[in-house]
Amino acid sequence: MSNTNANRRRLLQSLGLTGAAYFLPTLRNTPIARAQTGIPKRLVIFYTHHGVLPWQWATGSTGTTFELGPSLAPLAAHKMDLQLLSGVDQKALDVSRRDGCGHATGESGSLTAQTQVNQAKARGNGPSIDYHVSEGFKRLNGGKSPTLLDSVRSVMADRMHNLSLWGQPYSSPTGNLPVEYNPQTTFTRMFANGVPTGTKTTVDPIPFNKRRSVLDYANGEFKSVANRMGKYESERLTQHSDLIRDLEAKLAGMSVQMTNGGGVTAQCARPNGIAATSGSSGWWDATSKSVPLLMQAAIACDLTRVFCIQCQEPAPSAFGYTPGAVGTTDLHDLVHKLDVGMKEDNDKSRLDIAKVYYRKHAEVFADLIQKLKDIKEADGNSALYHTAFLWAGEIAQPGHSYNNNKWIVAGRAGGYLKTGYLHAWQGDNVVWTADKPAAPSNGDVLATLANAVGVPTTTFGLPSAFKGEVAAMKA
Amino acid sequence: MKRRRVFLSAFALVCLGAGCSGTTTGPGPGGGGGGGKGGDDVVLPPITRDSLKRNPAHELKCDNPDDPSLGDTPLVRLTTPEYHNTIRDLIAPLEMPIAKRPTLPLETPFEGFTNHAQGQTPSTELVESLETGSQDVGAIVSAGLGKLEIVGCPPSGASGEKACFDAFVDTFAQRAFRRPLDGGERERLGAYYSSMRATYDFNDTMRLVVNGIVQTPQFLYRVEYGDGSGSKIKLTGYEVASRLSYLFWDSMPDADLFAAAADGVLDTPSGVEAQVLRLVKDTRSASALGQFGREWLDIGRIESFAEDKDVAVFPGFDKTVAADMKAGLGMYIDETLLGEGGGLKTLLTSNVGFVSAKTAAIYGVGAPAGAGLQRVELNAAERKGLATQPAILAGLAARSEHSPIKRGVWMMSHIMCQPAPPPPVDLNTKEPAPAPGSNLTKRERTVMEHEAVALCKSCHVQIDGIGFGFEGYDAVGKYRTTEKVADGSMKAVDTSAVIKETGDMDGDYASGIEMIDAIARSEQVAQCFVEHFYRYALSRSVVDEDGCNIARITDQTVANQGDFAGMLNGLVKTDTFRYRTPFER
Repeated sequence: MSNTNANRRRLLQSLGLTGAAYFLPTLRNTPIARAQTGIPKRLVIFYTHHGVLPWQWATGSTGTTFELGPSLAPLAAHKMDLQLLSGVDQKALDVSRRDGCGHATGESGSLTAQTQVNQAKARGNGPSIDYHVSEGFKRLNGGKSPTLLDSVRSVMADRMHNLSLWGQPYSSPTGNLPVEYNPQTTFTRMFANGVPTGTKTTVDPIPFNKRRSVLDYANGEFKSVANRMGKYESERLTQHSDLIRDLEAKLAGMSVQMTNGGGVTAQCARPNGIAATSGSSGWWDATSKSVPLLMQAAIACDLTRVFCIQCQEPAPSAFGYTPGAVGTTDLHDLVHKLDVGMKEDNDKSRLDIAKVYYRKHAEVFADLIQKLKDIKEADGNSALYHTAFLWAGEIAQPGHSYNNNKWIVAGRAGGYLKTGYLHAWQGDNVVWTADKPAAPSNGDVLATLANAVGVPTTTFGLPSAFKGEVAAMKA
Repeated sequence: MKRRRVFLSAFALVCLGAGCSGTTTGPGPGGGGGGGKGGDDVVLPPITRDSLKRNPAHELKCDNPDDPSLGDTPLVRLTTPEYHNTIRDLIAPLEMPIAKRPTLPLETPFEGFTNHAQGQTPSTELVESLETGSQDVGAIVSAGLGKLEIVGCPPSGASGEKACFDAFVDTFAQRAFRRPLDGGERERLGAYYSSMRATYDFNDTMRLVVNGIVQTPQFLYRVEYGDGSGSKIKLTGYEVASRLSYLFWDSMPDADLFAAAADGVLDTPSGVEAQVLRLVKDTRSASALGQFGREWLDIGRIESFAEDKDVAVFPGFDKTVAADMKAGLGMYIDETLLGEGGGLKTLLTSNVGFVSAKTAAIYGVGAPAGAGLQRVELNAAERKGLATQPAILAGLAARSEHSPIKRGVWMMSHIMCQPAPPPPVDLNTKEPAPAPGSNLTKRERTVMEHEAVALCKSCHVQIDGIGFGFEGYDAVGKYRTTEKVADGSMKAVDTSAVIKETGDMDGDYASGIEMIDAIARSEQVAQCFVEHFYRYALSRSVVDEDGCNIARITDQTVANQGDFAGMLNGLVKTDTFRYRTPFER
């Protein structure tokens, strides 16, 4: 009995498939390929509260011809470094709104793209994007963080008031991630071992050599097994073995390049004047000055590649508000007494204060952008160019909505993202709306950013709320 | 003897080449064999000629019923679920966080199944994903070595390191390879350990060792050498243990299976049978065998279509309704196919449903008390069996209109093993909308369209005749007796059906329910079910050499009213399951 015909058919099919597989564009999008410059990519998050005043934010339709509104005026110098996302929907929160449209629910879902665990726990049912990315960096580096710190979560907030009442947007699979209220604590963690020097490589080449040694061992087993089996089994194993060899070769090239490159820049220095605060009076002045400096030093010295800044609410004095004034009890009350549908017809005394409040966010964001621009990388670009810098929040606007969020991404993540661009996925509609087919979910946006910084992400957050990477955000 | 794949496209060739005449390929040279002996002196039941001729589109061949041939023994790689489950069981009680699981590339089914060896071409993406995941496995195991209860691990000092490593090879590595390592494997692993230990500390070295082990072919593939020579090489007990565990659990053998392999228990059919009884009772079997059900019936693709409906025609139908329908289908298959006493006949004829408040109206019952899905008895005059489950009916329909063609094609392919030939490549297969003002039902329009063109009629006479049996269900799977036609009027639907030129199901039926009863009685359908499972269980196509096995297992399945457990047992006791063919050099 002959197996010839079946085997020939099988062989031809096998060869045909193999040929196709070789031309699959997988390498183009792998982290290995994207890291060829040796300059690391970073994810920075600026997180604020109470959304935006929609009509004060920006105007224009999708494209490059847009105008920043009064709230974003402090960002004028950086306009071409921004990608404005108007209309991002937190679709996962449509599934389960535990406390109506509360802040804590938004915090649980905005950076996780997940539903809320429960109302008592302002935490999403999944990891937030900062955790996802820092774990991805580890995975790509052989299981070890490529930097001294996995990530930093620094807070500009009055600890006693804000975070104890509301939640935190940063989650791991098992709980909220720790945040640091005192800039001095962050400073100590960052520089306990001194200041990294510019000549020190930031990525240990050993992990690549280790990975190659593992592959070499595995490949030896492939050869051994193939030798014991028949010709058809051997062909299949050889296909697999050849791909392992390819990976080994890539790792070898990457090892050299990462050794020669690295993330410590000439601007790496220990920052001066980092304040200590325990959340008592003076916390805003201390944190608003210290946290941006810490972020800049962390990136310049490559101490972490994931830095989150939670600006819960600036101190009332920072935007000319006195609790109890203008018929309001506190900022939360003031913001809630605005009707976004009335736009400029709101109570003027309240609206004027709110405008300063929202503009203050943009001032801080602009300061952070400038500090990244001031860091020069080995390829001549700024650190901002190699960073995906997201400004996000828990709700869309003062009237509370999880849909139609207006988020901003600064930086190009090494050329992955476009800038100088507005995506108008919504019109002027700021009230709760039905699903908009063209609008991405926050999970879609966050996955795009994870891919942008080199962490392969095919899905993120609640699967039913995830459509895929936002192609329109890519350069 | 020229080999051919029995199942695929057999009907297509006959239909296209012989004008749908129903011509068969003729009887094989064997057949009519008496009882004989298998590879372990097992007395095999006789095979009658009728057992080989159940499906006129492809009669089975059985040259030597006393000593059936084996067919291919392909090299099979672990599927994605098998890989994740095996890592889980290998490192237990340590755990791999879900977030660290590597995202492996989407698997492409071959002949409907993702575990088919011919669809398992490795890719760059696969190799890189496995490499990433292996790093995490290595880190978890080396950090948690003390929890694995390996004697001497972790070592208390440098002097104990080698002893720990040796014990590790005898336990962890053995379980990863799913058999004891041979001398060469042990030597190479030891050499790798020594070379790494010369540079790195013990923990780091063990991390690399584990990382390497889970990237070897012995781990990633189901490597079967067998033991012996000749045309049938008996699989070792360890290899049979892996066949069983991956078939029933989608994972590696457990301690009992390893022990049975080591003790030689799995060298005999009775030993295998004892393990099957144990494995099938384990809850893990529901998931693994459920995967067979989903892939056999193409449930994933069908469900994707079930979600997309025109809300203007079906107000209130949304993804949450579709999700409940899909969940209800999954529970239906679990109970009728995999549950106690479950099997083909129950799957095809049960009138239970798993209904939520959102889907009750579609199922034609009142909203059940309690949250979630509730098991209810459906009106037996309205629904019977898998094919009348709303998720199936909705998936085999367009957005706003039902489709007798899709329903007929699915029945022929998945239930009857007589797949309709594909339409001509230049044919627009989009079903036309009714003309404005038309007073014709979908059935009437379909008949008219297909009667007019001889090329269409030759195949649609079969497809449509079966699909018309489901005219009593609209595009979301709701039972109905009337259909709204284009002129706005309501017309009575005609659910009479006809099955032609297929075999023992042929006949005219007054209703779809009657047709379903005939299909459930069909021995040809029983054989189809066996063939599907045979391909799944062996990860390969059915070939001529499988004729004797298919006939015998079908005989048993028919005698046992389609009992699934009985069919499983019949299959794992065949020589094909416990032997391999020699390697071709």
